[in-house]
Amino acid sequence: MLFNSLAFVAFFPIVCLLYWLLPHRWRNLFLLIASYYFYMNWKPAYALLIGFSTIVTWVCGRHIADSAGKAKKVSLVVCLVLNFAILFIYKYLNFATGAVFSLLDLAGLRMAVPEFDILLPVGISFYTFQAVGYTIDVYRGTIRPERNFFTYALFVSFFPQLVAGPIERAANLLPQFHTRHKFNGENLIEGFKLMIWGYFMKLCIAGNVSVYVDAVFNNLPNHNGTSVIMAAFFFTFQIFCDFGGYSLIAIGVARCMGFNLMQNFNRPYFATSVKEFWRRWHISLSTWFMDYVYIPLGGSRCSRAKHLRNLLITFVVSGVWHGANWTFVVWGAYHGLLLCGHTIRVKFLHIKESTTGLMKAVNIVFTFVLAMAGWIFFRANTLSDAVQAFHHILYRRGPLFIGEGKSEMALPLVLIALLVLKELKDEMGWNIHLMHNKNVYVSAVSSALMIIVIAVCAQFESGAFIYFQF
Amino acid sequence: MKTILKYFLCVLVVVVGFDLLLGFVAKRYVTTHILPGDYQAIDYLINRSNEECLIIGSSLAINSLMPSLMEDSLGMTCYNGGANAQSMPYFETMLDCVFRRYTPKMVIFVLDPNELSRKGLGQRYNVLVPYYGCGHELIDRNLESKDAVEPWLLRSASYRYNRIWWRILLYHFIGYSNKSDKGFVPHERPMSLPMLKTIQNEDTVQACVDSFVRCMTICNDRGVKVVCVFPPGYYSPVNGAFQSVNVVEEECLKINAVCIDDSQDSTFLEHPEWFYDNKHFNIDGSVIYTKQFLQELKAHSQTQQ
Repeated sequence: MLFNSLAFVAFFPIVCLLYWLLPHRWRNLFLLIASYYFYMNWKPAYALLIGFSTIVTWVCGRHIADSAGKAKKVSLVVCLVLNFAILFIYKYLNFATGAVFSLLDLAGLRMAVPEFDILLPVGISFYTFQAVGYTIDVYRGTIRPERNFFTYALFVSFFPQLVAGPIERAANLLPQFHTRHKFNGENLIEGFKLMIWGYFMKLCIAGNVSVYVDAVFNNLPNHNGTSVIMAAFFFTFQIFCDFGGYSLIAIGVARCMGFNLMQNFNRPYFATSVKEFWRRWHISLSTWFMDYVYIPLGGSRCSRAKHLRNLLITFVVSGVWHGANWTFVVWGAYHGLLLCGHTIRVKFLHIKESTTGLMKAVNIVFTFVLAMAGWIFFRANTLSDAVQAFHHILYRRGPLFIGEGKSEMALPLVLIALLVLKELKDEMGWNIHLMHNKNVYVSAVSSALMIIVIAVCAQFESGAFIYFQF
Repeated sequence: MKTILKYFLCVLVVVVGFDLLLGFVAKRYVTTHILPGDYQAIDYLINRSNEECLIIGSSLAINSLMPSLMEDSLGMTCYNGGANAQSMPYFETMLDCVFRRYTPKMVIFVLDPNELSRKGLGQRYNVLVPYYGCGHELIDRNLESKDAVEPWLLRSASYRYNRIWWRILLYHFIGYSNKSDKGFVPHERPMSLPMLKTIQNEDTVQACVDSFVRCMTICNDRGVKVVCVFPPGYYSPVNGAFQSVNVVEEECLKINAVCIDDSQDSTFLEHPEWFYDNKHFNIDGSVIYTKQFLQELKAHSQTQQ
């Protein structure tokens, strides 16, 4: 079920209402059923995969907590192998097979590449990482294993963040399922406002720019460098508004039911360096990789060479996490290299970053351009498409493709300006509040106007969220 | 609880109030003004056209045939009613709207070689939304056919004028220069693209074929002369004829209509300077192709006689 579908518009109010009407002891079970219903709307059989992952991580978590030494380690390894094996089969098998056969081809052994007809389960990377994170935390002793299986199953499948995050930590979310939530009007209104802004980002901005982005990136031979730059600029906002919008809706939906999910984006395009960008972008995944990949590799507490190696490995793995395509691998490596460059500059050469005045603005723009260049790899359908896009940018100039007309180009630009203005207000801490005004009437009218903006500007046929495929 | 009620009630009142206001203002605007952009052609076809020869099609039509060049040769008044990114259901709708007012002598369908392979109503059929509920049955029926919820959503003015208000607002304040010459829009832009090598011969879609057959039948029943034309493009030739072209040729034969297939005319492949992209002529190409089309039409007419 998509957040931007009419089915969800009917589903959520019913679930929210019943949740608050039910006695506390039934609420978790009800949310568990609702979450599985939410997921099974897409492909019922794939709920078995969530179930399997839930059982494996729960049983292993219990076993890890009850054992010590080698047995504890074996349980963790079994848990990781089983979970990542499923992820590998459903997400990477075709990609890996293709890569192996390409290598064989290079070695002179030409064979037909077998194609496995596997449909990628929506959100598999998200719930796998969340469940695996729980097991590692239990192994490390940072949390106690969850005793109640159904509560744990809800932690893995909680519908607001099931298919595209935020990837929650057990230490944050699990205790909330044990808390006796009392109905709180402020939470309901706050959640509603977050959902409104999330829908604005997804339907108005991501939806409207997607038309142009798809027209250019799906037909690169027909477009010149000017149009590719414009498409890359639009995609930079599309990916942020698509995923950031989803995260806000997820956080808002959870808030309406009294749950607090972690913040996933913090105005990433106001970052003054690539390092800061990754502190603001997809925070739940960045911190996951930091805690479970980068630090176990040695983090920064090792030799300079190993520090850089750790950064590069972490970002390449992060790229692979995003999808089974060389474009994501290169995107991850690109960011890894940028971060290595930043580390060398700041940590090894001790060149200080200016964080005030004009230089800050220059750094923001420079970081934005670097991120935008990276998104070309991310959006291109193939690696050769990405190369072609850069080739067009450098060597093939021409008039800007204006797609469906100037008005259709102007609308996304106006909506992006509105978003940037709001982000700037938050970044600068300006004390102007409309939707979050303390006066209930100002707040309500602002919310209503935002709903109207969504209704009249939204691209309702903008389809699924991009991050569903991961 | 009181705050929640106040908040949500206020939200509801403002949203419903604005929706009603938008509906009132927009409907009044649509009935008293000619909308800009694509709507000029739509509005003209639906409400005001009286030409003896009508050209129907997508952007291919807009950029291919010049009515001012055609009028003398055909000996009848002519209007190019092409609309960007449209397909068969839109052509059928326009034909239905025109025939409710008058019967032209000739209708020229300018078609893409994969025209009958399009699924559904087409991504831009909803440009007709401002005409929903204005007595055009086919428009209402097609728009409502999307799904079970659509008729309910169409009751909301915010939904009906979704993104359309923006064009109205923009063009109302910054103005709109009508560059069209009897519906034909000249493009001065030079070609900046290599030859397209990925065009494929796509399978026809039955619903699309049915829609085309209905168009042909309506024209035939009313004694309207029908010409179907596939203009050339700057793309690699495919093996054999396109499936859509074959179907159109068969249907044309049935009602003695003219079918001109120039979709793989090799002469045009040697002249990228006649196009501004792989499928659309610039002004030079339009002049050359309109003249060629008229000659071919003449030859067909003589053969038929």
